[in-house]
Amino acid sequence: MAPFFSFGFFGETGSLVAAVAIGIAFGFVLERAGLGNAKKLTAQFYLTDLTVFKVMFTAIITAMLGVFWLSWAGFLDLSMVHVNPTYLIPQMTGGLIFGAGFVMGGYCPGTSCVAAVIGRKDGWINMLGMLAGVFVFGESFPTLQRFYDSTSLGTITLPDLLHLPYGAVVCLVTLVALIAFVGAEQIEGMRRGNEQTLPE
Amino acid sequence: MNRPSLNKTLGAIAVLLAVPALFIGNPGRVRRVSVDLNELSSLIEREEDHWTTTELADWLMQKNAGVRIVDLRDSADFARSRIPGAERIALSDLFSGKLRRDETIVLYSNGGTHASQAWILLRADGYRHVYTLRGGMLSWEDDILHPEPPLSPAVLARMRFFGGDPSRPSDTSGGSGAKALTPGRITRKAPARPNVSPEPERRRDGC
Repeated sequence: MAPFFSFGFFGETGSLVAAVAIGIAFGFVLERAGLGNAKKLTAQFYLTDLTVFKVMFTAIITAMLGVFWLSWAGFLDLSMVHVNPTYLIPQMTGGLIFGAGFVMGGYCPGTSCVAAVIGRKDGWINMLGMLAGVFVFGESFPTLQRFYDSTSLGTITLPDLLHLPYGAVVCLVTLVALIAFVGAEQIEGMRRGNEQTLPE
Repeated sequence: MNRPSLNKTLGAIAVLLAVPALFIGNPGRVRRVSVDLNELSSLIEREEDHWTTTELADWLMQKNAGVRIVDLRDSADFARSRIPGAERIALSDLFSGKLRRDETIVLYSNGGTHASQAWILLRADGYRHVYTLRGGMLSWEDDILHPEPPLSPAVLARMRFFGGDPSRPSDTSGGSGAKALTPGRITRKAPARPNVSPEPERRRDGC
Protein backbone atom coordinates (compact mmCIF):
# COMPACT_ATOMS: atom_id res chain seq x y z
CA MET A 1 0.00 0.00 0.00
CA ALA A 2 1.35 3.44 -0.87
CA PRO A 3 2.64 5.95 0.12
CA PHE A 4 5.48 3.55 0.78
CA PHE A 5 7.28 5.87 3.22
CA SER A 6 4.17 6.49 5.32
CA PHE A 7 3.54 2.75 5.59
CA GLY A 8 7.08 2.08 6.73
CA PHE A 9 8.30 0.15 3.68
CA PHE A 10 11.46 2.19 3.83
CA GLY A 11 12.87 4.80 6.21
CA GLU A 12 14.68 8.09 5.76
CA THR A 13 17.64 6.55 3.91
CA GLY A 14 15.39 4.73 1.49
CA SER A 15 13.37 7.85 0.88
CA LEU A 16 16.56 9.80 0.09
CA VAL A 17 17.64 7.11 -2.38
CA ALA A 18 14.21 7.24 -3.99
CA ALA A 19 14.43 11.05 -4.12
CA VAL A 20 17.79 10.88 -5.94
CA ALA A 21 16.44 8.36 -8.44
CA ILE A 22 13.28 10.39 -9.07
CA GLY A 23 15.35 13.56 -9.34
CA ILE A 24 17.60 12.01 -11.97
CA ALA A 25 14.56 10.85 -13.94
CA PHE A 26 12.95 14.29 -13.60
CA GLY A 27 16.06 16.08 -14.84
CA PHE A 28 16.40 13.66 -17.76
CA VAL A 29 12.81 14.20 -18.83
CA LEU A 30 13.09 17.99 -18.50
CA GLU A 31 16.19 18.05 -20.69
CA ARG A 32 14.64 15.76 -23.30
CA ALA A 33 11.59 18.02 -23.41
CA GLY A 34 13.88 20.94 -24.23
CA LEU A 35 13.39 22.70 -20.94
CA GLY A 36 17.12 23.23 -20.43
CA ASN A 37 16.95 26.05 -22.99
CA ALA A 38 16.31 29.53 -21.59
CA LYS A 39 14.78 30.80 -24.86
CA LYS A 40 12.22 28.02 -24.86
CA LEU A 41 11.42 28.66 -21.20
CA THR A 42 10.96 32.41 -21.50
CA ALA A 43 9.03 32.04 -24.76
CA GLN A 44 6.01 30.99 -22.73
CA PHE A 45 5.86 34.48 -21.21
CA TYR A 46 5.67 35.87 -24.74
CA LEU A 47 3.06 33.20 -25.59
CA THR A 48 5.06 31.99 -28.60
CA ASP A 49 5.97 28.60 -27.14
CA LEU A 50 3.79 27.17 -24.38
CA THR A 51 5.72 23.91 -24.03
CA VAL A 52 6.38 24.51 -20.33
CA PHE A 53 2.69 25.05 -19.66
CA LYS A 54 1.75 21.92 -21.61
CA VAL A 55 4.45 19.75 -20.00
CA MET A 56 3.60 20.83 -16.47
CA PHE A 57 -0.16 20.61 -16.89
CA THR A 58 0.21 17.19 -18.53
CA ALA A 59 2.24 16.04 -15.54
CA ILE A 60 -0.44 17.36 -13.17
CA ILE A 61 -3.22 15.54 -15.03
CA THR A 62 -1.25 12.29 -15.25
CA ALA A 63 -0.42 12.35 -11.54
CA MET A 64 -3.95 13.38 -10.56
CA LEU A 65 -5.60 10.60 -12.55
CA GLY A 66 -3.03 8.10 -11.31
CA VAL A 67 -3.50 9.06 -7.66
CA PHE A 68 -7.30 8.97 -7.98
CA TRP A 69 -7.50 5.55 -9.62
CA LEU A 70 -4.77 3.97 -7.47
CA SER A 71 -6.66 5.20 -4.41
CA TRP A 72 -9.93 3.82 -5.75
CA ALA A 73 -8.24 0.47 -6.42
CA GLY A 74 -6.90 0.35 -2.87
CA PHE A 75 -3.20 0.66 -3.74
CA LEU A 76 -2.79 4.18 -2.38
CA ASP A 77 -4.06 5.70 0.85
CA LEU A 78 -4.98 9.20 -0.24
CA SER A 79 -5.27 10.42 3.35
CA MET A 80 -1.57 9.64 3.88
CA VAL A 81 -0.31 11.65 0.91
CA HIS A 82 1.43 14.75 2.20
CA VAL A 83 -0.21 17.99 1.18
CA ASN A 84 1.69 21.23 1.65
CA PRO A 85 -0.17 23.68 3.84
CA THR A 86 -1.32 26.87 2.16
CA TYR A 87 -0.04 30.23 3.41
CA LEU A 88 -1.88 32.56 1.07
CA ILE A 89 -0.03 35.88 1.08
CA PRO A 90 3.52 34.51 1.58
CA GLN A 91 3.06 31.99 -1.23
CA MET A 92 1.55 34.60 -3.56
CA THR A 93 4.50 36.87 -2.78
CA GLY A 94 6.95 34.05 -3.39
CA GLY A 95 5.19 33.22 -6.65
CA LEU A 96 5.50 36.80 -7.86
CA ILE A 97 9.21 36.90 -6.99
CA PHE A 98 9.65 33.49 -8.62
CA GLY A 99 7.88 34.61 -11.79
CA ALA A 100 9.92 37.78 -12.06
CA GLY A 101 13.12 35.81 -11.55
CA PHE A 102 12.04 33.21 -14.09
CA VAL A 103 11.51 35.77 -16.82
CA MET A 104 14.69 37.70 -16.00
CA GLY A 105 16.94 34.68 -15.55
CA GLY A 106 15.34 32.39 -18.08
CA TYR A 107 15.17 29.41 -15.73
CA CYS A 108 13.26 28.10 -12.78
CA PRO A 109 15.21 26.35 -9.98
CA GLY A 110 14.88 22.89 -11.51
CA THR A 111 15.66 23.89 -15.08
CA SER A 112 18.64 25.98 -13.96
CA CYS A 113 20.17 22.75 -12.63
CA VAL A 114 19.35 21.01 -15.90
CA ALA A 115 20.98 23.80 -17.91
CA ALA A 116 24.03 23.88 -15.65
CA VAL A 117 24.57 20.14 -15.96
CA ILE A 118 24.42 20.24 -19.76
CA GLY A 119 27.10 22.90 -19.77
CA ARG A 120 25.24 26.18 -20.12
CA LYS A 121 27.02 28.98 -18.29
CA ASP A 122 23.81 30.95 -17.78
CA GLY A 123 22.43 27.87 -16.02
CA TRP A 124 25.39 27.89 -13.61
CA ILE A 125 24.95 31.62 -12.92
CA ASN A 126 21.23 31.14 -12.35
CA MET A 127 21.88 28.22 -10.02
CA LEU A 128 24.47 30.18 -8.01
CA GLY A 129 21.99 33.03 -7.77
CA MET A 130 19.35 30.61 -6.50
CA LEU A 131 21.72 29.27 -3.82
CA ALA A 132 22.64 32.81 -2.81
CA GLY A 133 18.97 33.66 -2.51
CA VAL A 134 18.39 30.58 -0.35
CA PHE A 135 21.28 31.63 1.89
CA VAL A 136 20.02 35.21 2.22
CA PHE A 137 16.52 33.95 2.99
CA GLY A 138 17.87 31.59 5.62
CA GLU A 139 19.87 34.30 7.32
CA SER A 140 16.93 36.72 7.29
CA PHE A 141 14.40 34.12 8.39
CA PRO A 142 14.02 35.39 11.98
CA THR A 143 12.91 38.73 10.57
CA LEU A 144 10.65 37.15 7.96
CA GLN A 145 9.16 34.39 10.06
CA ARG A 146 6.07 36.24 11.14
CA PHE A 147 5.15 37.03 7.55
CA TYR A 148 6.22 33.52 6.47
CA ASP A 149 3.71 31.93 8.87
CA SER A 150 0.87 34.35 8.19
CA THR A 151 -2.48 33.74 6.48
CA SER A 152 -2.44 29.99 6.95
CA LEU A 153 -5.37 28.15 5.39
CA GLY A 154 -4.12 24.74 6.53
CA THR A 155 -3.81 21.80 4.18
CA ILE A 156 -6.62 22.88 1.93
CA THR A 157 -7.32 21.12 -1.35
CA LEU A 158 -9.55 21.98 -4.31
CA PRO A 159 -12.27 19.51 -3.19
CA ASP A 160 -12.27 21.23 0.23
CA LEU A 161 -12.35 24.69 -1.32
CA LEU A 162 -15.05 23.94 -3.88
CA HIS A 163 -17.05 21.60 -1.60
CA LEU A 164 -17.05 19.00 -4.35
CA PRO A 165 -16.15 15.30 -4.28
CA TYR A 166 -12.65 14.38 -5.42
CA GLY A 167 -13.96 12.72 -8.56
CA ALA A 168 -15.82 15.83 -9.64
CA VAL A 169 -12.68 17.93 -9.24
CA VAL A 170 -10.65 15.35 -11.18
CA CYS A 171 -13.13 15.49 -14.04
CA LEU A 172 -13.29 19.29 -13.94
CA VAL A 173 -9.51 19.80 -13.90
CA THR A 174 -9.01 17.31 -16.73
CA LEU A 175 -11.57 19.02 -18.93
CA VAL A 176 -10.08 22.44 -18.13
CA ALA A 177 -6.64 21.10 -19.03
CA LEU A 178 -7.76 19.70 -22.36
CA ILE A 179 -9.49 22.96 -23.25
CA ALA A 180 -6.36 24.84 -22.17
CA PHE A 181 -4.14 22.65 -24.36
CA VAL A 182 -6.29 23.38 -27.40
CA GLY A 183 -6.27 27.06 -26.49
CA ALA A 184 -2.50 27.02 -26.07
CA GLU A 185 -2.04 25.60 -29.56
CA GLN A 186 -4.29 28.32 -30.96
CA ILE A 187 -2.43 31.07 -29.11
CA GLU A 188 0.97 29.74 -30.23
CA GLY A 189 -0.20 29.72 -33.81
CA MET A 190 -1.51 33.27 -33.60
CA ARG A 191 1.57 34.58 -31.82
CA ARG A 192 4.00 32.91 -34.17
CA GLY A 193 2.17 34.46 -37.05
CA ASN A 194 2.71 37.91 -35.51
CA GLU A 195 6.09 37.07 -33.97
CA GLN A 196 8.90 39.58 -34.07
CA THR A 197 12.36 38.10 -33.85
CA LEU A 198 13.68 38.26 -30.32
CA PRO A 199 17.19 39.74 -29.96
CA GLU A 200 19.97 37.08 -29.84
CA MET B 1 1.70 7.70 -35.01
CA ASN B 2 2.09 11.40 -35.84
CA ARG B 3 1.95 13.95 -33.06
CA PRO B 4 -1.56 15.39 -33.50
CA SER B 5 -2.91 11.84 -33.57
CA LEU B 6 -0.93 10.95 -30.44
CA ASN B 7 -2.23 14.06 -28.66
CA LYS B 8 -5.82 13.16 -29.57
CA THR B 9 -5.31 9.61 -28.33
CA LEU B 10 -3.88 10.80 -25.03
CA GLY B 11 -6.67 13.34 -24.69
CA ALA B 12 -9.26 10.64 -25.28
CA ILE B 13 -7.62 8.42 -22.63
CA ALA B 14 -7.69 11.31 -20.17
CA VAL B 15 -11.40 11.87 -20.81
CA LEU B 16 -12.11 8.15 -20.43
CA LEU B 17 -10.39 8.20 -17.03
CA ALA B 18 -11.83 11.51 -15.87
CA VAL B 19 -15.52 11.10 -16.64
CA PRO B 20 -16.06 7.93 -14.55
CA ALA B 21 -14.30 9.70 -11.69
CA LEU B 22 -17.21 12.12 -11.64
CA PHE B 23 -19.57 9.28 -10.71
CA ILE B 24 -17.25 7.63 -8.21
CA GLY B 25 -16.98 10.72 -6.04
CA ASN B 26 -14.49 10.15 -3.24
CA PRO B 27 -12.17 7.19 -3.74
CA GLY B 28 -11.18 4.92 -0.88
CA ARG B 29 -14.02 6.05 1.41
CA VAL B 30 -14.19 2.72 3.17
CA ARG B 31 -10.84 1.48 4.44
CA ARG B 32 -10.53 -2.09 5.45
CA VAL B 33 -7.71 -3.15 7.71
CA SER B 34 -6.64 -6.47 9.15
CA VAL B 35 -5.96 -6.81 12.86
CA ASP B 36 -3.65 -9.25 14.60
CA LEU B 37 -5.72 -9.90 17.70
CA ASN B 38 -3.02 -11.96 19.39
CA GLU B 39 -0.46 -9.21 18.94
CA LEU B 40 -2.75 -6.53 20.31
CA SER B 41 -3.86 -8.53 23.30
CA SER B 42 -0.25 -9.45 24.03
CA LEU B 43 0.78 -5.80 23.97
CA ILE B 44 -1.99 -4.92 26.39
CA GLU B 45 -1.11 -7.80 28.68
CA ARG B 46 2.58 -6.83 28.76
CA GLU B 47 1.54 -3.21 29.39
CA GLU B 48 3.44 -2.06 26.32
CA ASP B 49 0.41 -0.14 25.12
CA HIS B 50 0.78 2.87 27.38
CA TRP B 51 3.06 5.38 29.04
CA THR B 52 2.54 6.36 32.65
CA THR B 53 2.16 9.98 33.64
CA THR B 54 5.56 9.98 35.35
CA GLU B 55 7.24 8.53 32.25
CA LEU B 56 5.76 11.27 30.10
CA ALA B 57 6.55 13.97 32.63
CA ASP B 58 10.17 12.84 32.89
CA TRP B 59 10.42 12.74 29.09
CA LEU B 60 9.17 16.30 28.82
CA MET B 61 11.36 17.53 31.67
CA GLN B 62 14.43 16.16 29.91
CA LYS B 63 13.29 18.09 26.79
CA ASN B 64 13.44 14.97 24.70
CA ALA B 65 12.04 15.31 21.23
CA GLY B 66 10.41 12.80 18.95
CA VAL B 67 7.07 12.23 20.66
CA ARG B 68 3.77 13.65 19.49
CA ILE B 69 1.31 14.12 22.30
CA VAL B 70 -2.24 14.00 20.99
CA ASP B 71 -5.17 15.35 22.99
CA LEU B 72 -8.44 13.69 21.94
CA ARG B 73 -10.74 15.83 24.11
CA ASP B 74 -13.09 18.54 22.93
CA SER B 75 -11.85 22.06 22.29
CA ALA B 76 -13.28 23.44 25.53
CA ASP B 77 -11.35 20.95 27.68
CA PHE B 78 -8.23 21.52 25.61
CA ALA B 79 -8.48 25.28 26.04
CA ARG B 80 -8.93 24.90 29.79
CA SER B 81 -5.90 22.71 30.39
CA ARG B 82 -3.56 20.47 28.48
CA ILE B 83 -0.29 18.64 28.75
CA PRO B 84 2.58 20.84 27.50
CA GLY B 85 3.34 20.16 23.86
CA ALA B 86 0.02 18.46 23.21
CA GLU B 87 -1.90 19.08 20.03
CA ARG B 88 -5.61 18.53 19.76
CA ILE B 89 -6.85 16.09 17.14
CA ALA B 90 -10.46 14.97 17.16
CA LEU B 91 -11.09 11.22 16.90
CA SER B 92 -12.80 11.79 13.55
CA ASP B 93 -9.65 13.50 12.24
CA LEU B 94 -7.19 10.82 13.28
CA PHE B 95 -7.12 9.31 9.80
CA SER B 96 -6.98 12.51 7.79
CA GLY B 97 -3.24 12.37 7.31
CA LYS B 98 -2.22 14.38 10.36
CA LEU B 99 -0.26 11.50 11.91
CA ARG B 100 2.62 9.62 10.35
CA ARG B 101 3.15 5.94 10.90
CA ASP B 102 6.82 6.31 11.77
CA GLU B 103 6.15 8.73 14.64
CA THR B 104 5.91 7.94 18.34
CA ILE B 105 2.47 9.07 19.43
CA VAL B 106 1.05 9.30 22.96
CA LEU B 107 -2.73 9.66 23.09
CA TYR B 108 -4.73 10.96 26.00
CA SER B 109 -8.30 11.85 26.81
CA ASN B 110 -9.91 12.80 30.09
CA GLY B 111 -9.92 9.30 31.59
CA GLY B 112 -8.65 6.95 28.95
CA THR B 113 -11.65 5.54 27.11
CA HIS B 114 -11.30 7.54 23.93
CA ALA B 115 -7.52 7.18 24.03
CA SER B 116 -7.83 3.41 24.30
CA GLN B 117 -10.33 3.27 21.45
CA ALA B 118 -8.08 5.46 19.31
CA TRP B 119 -5.12 3.24 20.19
CA ILE B 120 -6.87 0.16 18.84
CA LEU B 121 -7.91 1.96 15.66
CA LEU B 122 -4.41 3.33 15.03
CA ARG B 123 -2.72 0.01 15.78
CA ALA B 124 -5.14 -1.67 13.38
CA ASP B 125 -4.20 0.88 10.74
CA GLY B 126 -0.52 0.05 10.99
CA TYR B 127 0.73 2.61 13.53
CA ARG B 128 3.38 0.67 15.44
CA HIS B 129 4.55 3.35 17.88
CA VAL B 130 1.32 4.56 19.41
CA TYR B 131 0.61 4.54 23.13
CA THR B 132 -2.01 5.80 25.52
CA LEU B 133 -1.33 7.87 28.60
CA ARG B 134 -2.53 5.68 31.43
CA GLY B 135 -5.28 7.41 33.31
CA GLY B 136 -5.43 10.33 30.89
CA MET B 137 -5.68 13.94 31.94
CA LEU B 138 -7.27 13.01 35.25
CA SER B 139 -4.18 11.04 36.24
CA TRP B 140 -1.91 13.80 34.95
CA GLU B 141 -3.69 16.21 37.24
CA ASP B 142 -3.51 13.84 40.22
CA ASP B 143 0.01 12.48 39.74
CA ILE B 144 1.90 15.44 38.32
CA LEU B 145 0.10 18.72 38.93
CA HIS B 146 -1.62 18.14 42.26
CA PRO B 147 0.03 15.17 43.96
CA GLU B 148 -0.99 14.24 47.46
CA PRO B 149 1.49 14.76 50.29
CA PRO B 150 3.92 13.44 51.39
CA LEU B 151 5.86 14.51 48.30
CA SER B 152 9.08 12.77 47.35
CA PRO B 153 11.81 14.94 45.74
CA ALA B 154 11.00 13.50 42.30
CA VAL B 155 7.28 14.16 42.67
CA LEU B 156 7.97 17.66 43.97
CA ALA B 157 10.32 18.36 41.05
CA ARG B 158 7.69 17.30 38.53
CA MET B 159 4.99 19.31 40.23
CA ARG B 160 7.11 22.46 40.23
CA PHE B 161 8.29 21.96 36.64
CA PHE B 162 4.74 21.80 35.34
CA GLY B 163 3.44 24.58 37.55
CA GLY B 164 1.26 22.53 39.85
CA ASP B 165 0.59 22.71 43.56
CA PRO B 166 0.06 20.09 46.26
CA SER B 167 -3.38 18.60 46.51
CA ARG B 168 -5.56 19.42 49.49
CA PRO B 169 -8.19 16.97 50.68
CA SER B 170 -11.54 18.28 49.40
CA ASP B 171 -14.70 18.54 51.61
CA THR B 172 -17.58 16.41 50.38
CA SER B 173 -20.99 15.93 51.86
CA GLY B 174 -20.15 12.34 52.62
CA GLY B 175 -17.11 13.35 54.65
CA SER B 176 -15.04 10.67 52.96
CA GLY B 177 -12.28 13.10 52.00
CA ALA B 178 -12.50 11.87 48.42
CA LYS B 179 -11.80 14.40 45.68
CA ALA B 180 -14.97 15.84 44.16
CA LEU B 181 -14.53 15.61 40.41
CA THR B 182 -17.19 15.96 37.80
CA PRO B 183 -16.74 12.94 35.49
CA GLY B 184 -15.17 14.03 32.25
CA ARG B 185 -14.42 17.56 33.50
CA ILE B 186 -11.26 19.04 34.95
CA THR B 187 -12.33 21.26 37.83
CA ARG B 188 -8.95 22.54 38.98
CA LYS B 189 -7.45 25.73 37.62
CA ALA B 190 -5.27 25.56 34.52
CA PRO B 191 -1.57 25.00 35.32
CA ALA B 192 0.89 27.85 34.96
CA ARG B 193 3.07 27.90 31.85
CA PRO B 194 5.81 25.29 32.30
CA ASN B 195 9.44 25.64 31.29
CA VAL B 196 8.87 23.44 28.26
CA SER B 197 8.03 25.47 25.16
CA PRO B 198 7.63 23.03 22.28
CA GLU B 199 7.82 24.41 18.77
CA PRO B 200 5.16 23.26 16.36
CA GLU B 201 6.71 21.22 13.60
CA ARG B 202 6.13 22.71 10.20
CA ARG B 203 7.24 20.94 7.08
CA ARG B 204 7.86 22.79 3.93
CA ASP B 205 8.46 20.65 0.91
CA GLY B 206 8.77 21.78 -2.64
CA CYS B 207 11.00 22.00 -5.67
